[in-house]
Amino acid sequence: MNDRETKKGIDRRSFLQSTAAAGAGLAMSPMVLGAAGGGDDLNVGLLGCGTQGQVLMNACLKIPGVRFKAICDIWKAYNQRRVSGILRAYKHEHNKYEDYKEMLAAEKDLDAVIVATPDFWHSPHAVACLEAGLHVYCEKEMSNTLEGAKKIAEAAKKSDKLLQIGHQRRSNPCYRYCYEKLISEAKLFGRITTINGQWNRSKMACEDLLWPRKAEMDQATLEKFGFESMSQFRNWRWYKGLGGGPIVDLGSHQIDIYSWFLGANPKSVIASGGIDYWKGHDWYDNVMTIFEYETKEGTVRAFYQTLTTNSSNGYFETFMGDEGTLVISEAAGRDKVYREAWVPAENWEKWVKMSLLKEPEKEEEEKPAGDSVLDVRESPKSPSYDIPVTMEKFYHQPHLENFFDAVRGKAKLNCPAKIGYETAVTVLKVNEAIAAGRKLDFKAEDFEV
Amino acid sequence: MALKKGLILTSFLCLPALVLTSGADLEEKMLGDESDGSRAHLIHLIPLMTEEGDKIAPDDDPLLPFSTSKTCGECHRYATVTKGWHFNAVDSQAGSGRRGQPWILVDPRTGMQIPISYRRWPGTFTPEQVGLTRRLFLRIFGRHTPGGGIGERPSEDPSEIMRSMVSGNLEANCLSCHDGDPGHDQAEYDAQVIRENFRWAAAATCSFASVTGSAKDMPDTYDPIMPEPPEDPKLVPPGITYRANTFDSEKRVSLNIQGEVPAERCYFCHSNLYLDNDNAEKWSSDEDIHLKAGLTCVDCHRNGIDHNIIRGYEGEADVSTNRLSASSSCRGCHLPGESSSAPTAGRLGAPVPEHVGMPTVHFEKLSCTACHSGPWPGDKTYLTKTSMAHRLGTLNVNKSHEALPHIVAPVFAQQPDGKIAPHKLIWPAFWADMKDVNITPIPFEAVRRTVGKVLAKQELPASADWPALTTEDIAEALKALSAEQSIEGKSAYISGGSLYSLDDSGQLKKEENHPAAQPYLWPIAHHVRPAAQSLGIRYCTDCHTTDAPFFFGDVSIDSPIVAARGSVKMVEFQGDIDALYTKLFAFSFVFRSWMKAIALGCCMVLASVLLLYALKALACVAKVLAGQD
Repeated sequence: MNDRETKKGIDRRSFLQSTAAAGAGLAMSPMVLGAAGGGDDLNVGLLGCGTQGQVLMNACLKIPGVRFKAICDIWKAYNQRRVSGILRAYKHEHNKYEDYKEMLAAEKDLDAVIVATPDFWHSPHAVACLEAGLHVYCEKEMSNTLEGAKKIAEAAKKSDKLLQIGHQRRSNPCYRYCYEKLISEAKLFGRITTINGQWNRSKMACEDLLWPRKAEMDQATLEKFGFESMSQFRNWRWYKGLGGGPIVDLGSHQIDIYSWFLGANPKSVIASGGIDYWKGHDWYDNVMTIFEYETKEGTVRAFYQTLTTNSSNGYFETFMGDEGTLVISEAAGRDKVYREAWVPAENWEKWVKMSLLKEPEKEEEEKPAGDSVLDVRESPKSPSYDIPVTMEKFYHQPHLENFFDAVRGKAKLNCPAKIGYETAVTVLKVNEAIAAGRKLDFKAEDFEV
Repeated sequence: MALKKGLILTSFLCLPALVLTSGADLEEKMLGDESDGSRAHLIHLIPLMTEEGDKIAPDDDPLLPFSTSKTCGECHRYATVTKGWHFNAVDSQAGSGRRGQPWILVDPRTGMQIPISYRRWPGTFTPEQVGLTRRLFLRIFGRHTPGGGIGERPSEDPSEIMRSMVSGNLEANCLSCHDGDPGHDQAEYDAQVIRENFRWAAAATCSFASVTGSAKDMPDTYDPIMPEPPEDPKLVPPGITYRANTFDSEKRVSLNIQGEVPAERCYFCHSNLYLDNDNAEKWSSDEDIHLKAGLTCVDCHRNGIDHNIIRGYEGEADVSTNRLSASSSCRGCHLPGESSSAPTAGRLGAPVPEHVGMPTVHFEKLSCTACHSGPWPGDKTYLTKTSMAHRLGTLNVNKSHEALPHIVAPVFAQQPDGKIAPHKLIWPAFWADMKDVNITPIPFEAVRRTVGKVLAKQELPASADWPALTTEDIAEALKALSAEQSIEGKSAYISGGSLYSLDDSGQLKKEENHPAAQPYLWPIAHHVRPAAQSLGIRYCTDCHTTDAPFFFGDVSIDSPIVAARGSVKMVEFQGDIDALYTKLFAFSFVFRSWMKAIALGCCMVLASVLLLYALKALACVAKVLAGQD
């Protein structure tokens, strides 16, 4: 027992060290200006300077040895100008491009490109970058179509360069800890039978995005790059042929975790959704879906919903086993572990002693309201525990660090093409299931490239 | 060949002219940079402009705050204005002038009150030295700055570059001084600065605009021009609304701009509250006599478009480019000029003082303010509050008398020019890194992290006074600080004029009167008291008695360490004045009335004797003239 405890204790520490090794020291260090250089420096291009491009750039600016040398965006008057200004402030000397082909033709000393363009551009962009001999970090969803996703996966297969898909939770130390330590090693939750997850957004957060009139793109440029109008350009996520709607934008992140934690791809999906609230959009503004997974331990049903009219309970994933529950979220402070009340507390004490979990919270005994008494059929409340790992960085930073470490030969990618493709297959099928109005099955070969 | 040489020569000759011409263009005055001489109120019916230079319309989506640099800058050379005294503290080219009031970084939890200033006045530290980044400085002190300066300096801290794009610049807030609208609310400026709504802060002070939300809560990538609502519905992005009917049909707004700044605008940043027991509230103390006589602040503190305002102290003319600086001190208005072609005394109705019977040594050794300004001295100095130090005029101010920082006044201390003048004083209290004789403050965050943890057990008084620390607390905190990686030398604590450190055996060591622990003093200029309230009005004994506050009042020694509190006599701050001599001299005034009587008696006896002899002589002369022997 002692030996095991010691081993576990070391494991936990070594886990923390290994997941934080690349970043912990870096987290303490300030953001780095472009002037700082070193042998491991990587020259990076940013393809797509919109909000997501800026989020990724901001995280990259925290990572030593990453130097932006080129940026590319079709909206020169705004996105390109803004990002260029930020990079100038960070002293990253860079060139600006409107067309990615020009960038790839002109920039000969790039090591990697970050693709943060609308989904329908991912495939041509990522494929072109890989074919140009560059490592690629491509935002999820891999593509808005399976064909597009497959092209990327095939290009990655052919290339000797790396491709990381931006399912950033795959590198999040909290998620990694829960998967590696709590689920795989300790099997803390017993047999996982059910998953529940959601990403609910308020109406406010889902209003159409605007743009400064004076910086409007001309119609010819918009059409050249596949957009009908400025409004469509700004709100491409809602339009068929450009994006995949909320289930793809939001759900993809979390459904990816379902498959990761279960170690399986789903065997079927059933879904409902509609364009019930917002006007002028192509994609469903609310979706509810159930995946069926077949794991070694048996069947798992996984529910997921995304709303765009109500933010109740935000976003999280819940993994329910017969011995306990894991609630996890990318949002800070929501991670919790619950022991089923029938499981003796002593059974979990060892995990606390080994620092795998934090002490259960001492909650005040709840008094029944009024004359009500606990129904004998009601289960008592599950005691809750915290996990001892926190995420102190920008959400995307560890995933980018993993990518750059992999490029330097110091790490293995956490979300290579294969995983990204499998998730794309899983998630894109939801929209198909809604349209079909019935349960759709996955075949094993669907997930193969 | 000759022609070529001629061309080259001509080019060289023309070059300076071209340079001068382009320079002249740069300095070309804008519409509002120079008055036409009319003293009538000027109407400002103007469009509001965004920081991008776009006209704001009431139906804009999103509505943006107006930018003063672009709105006011349409007619006034903003770059010139912001070189003025109120904005140029960070300008290394700007002179620092006479020592003034510093910013005071206060943290009761860690026993800290430290004077800081970008002006590098001796005795102050720069914000960087105490670990304040631009963003932190603005969040803490921006409330009582007029914007500009550091508020517009690009952040050099990589972790703040993106943040600064979210918050924007804290531009020079022209309205904080020039808004004549009675609805102007400068306290809103503080509220916005705390939320890091820098680009919204000036607009928020106007009666016709209201600002909601907080830039501080937004992610680094938040873009106010293309706002994307935050995921968390509890977080509200910064936003502005303009009151209905603010804009006319041509999208112009009427601003009640006052060229001559009203005193109440100055007061937001320049109020003083001297907490003597009798006059500890605003209603019970008198205002400056100049204002009561009908003047305003800017009657003396004048400037042109360059905003190079006159501070109004003697000797300012040596360092100021403001041509009126020499004539705008106390002497400038009240005493006859020596070399002026026109009479200067009596300007603005200033009475010319007679100073009857006043020995001239007083004019050599004392500033005018020594007798005429600040609170009447008592046996002990008073705690004093100022707008800048105590956030006066903002929301949720702790009104207790003991609220930190502890500024004491009046302290009659010698100025660098050798004259004694009344001062405010603060005893610095801070944690330091001591390398040989070099003492540098330990960055604020490191102190909070380490010392704050050690002293967390100490109860913080609701009055915002110091916690009652002991030397044991200090020793414990110093030990904790020694483990702090950022400290290169030995950790030390400075407070109440002493330096505390741990000796080799780990025991607390105290060095009194340590040079690095000296108090910081800055001169008091206001409130000016009327002549009948001046020191000396009741006779020399206002100052020349053995217990006169001017020399022998107690200056409080302030420290969070209870055992270190005490006082020091005023005379200790008066340079080479000998305390014993001063006491003896003062003692002489006890007998001066007797001495006068004795002297008068002696004179009368002497006069009687002389008169007797004179009469005798007169008798002799009469006899001689009468032919008698």
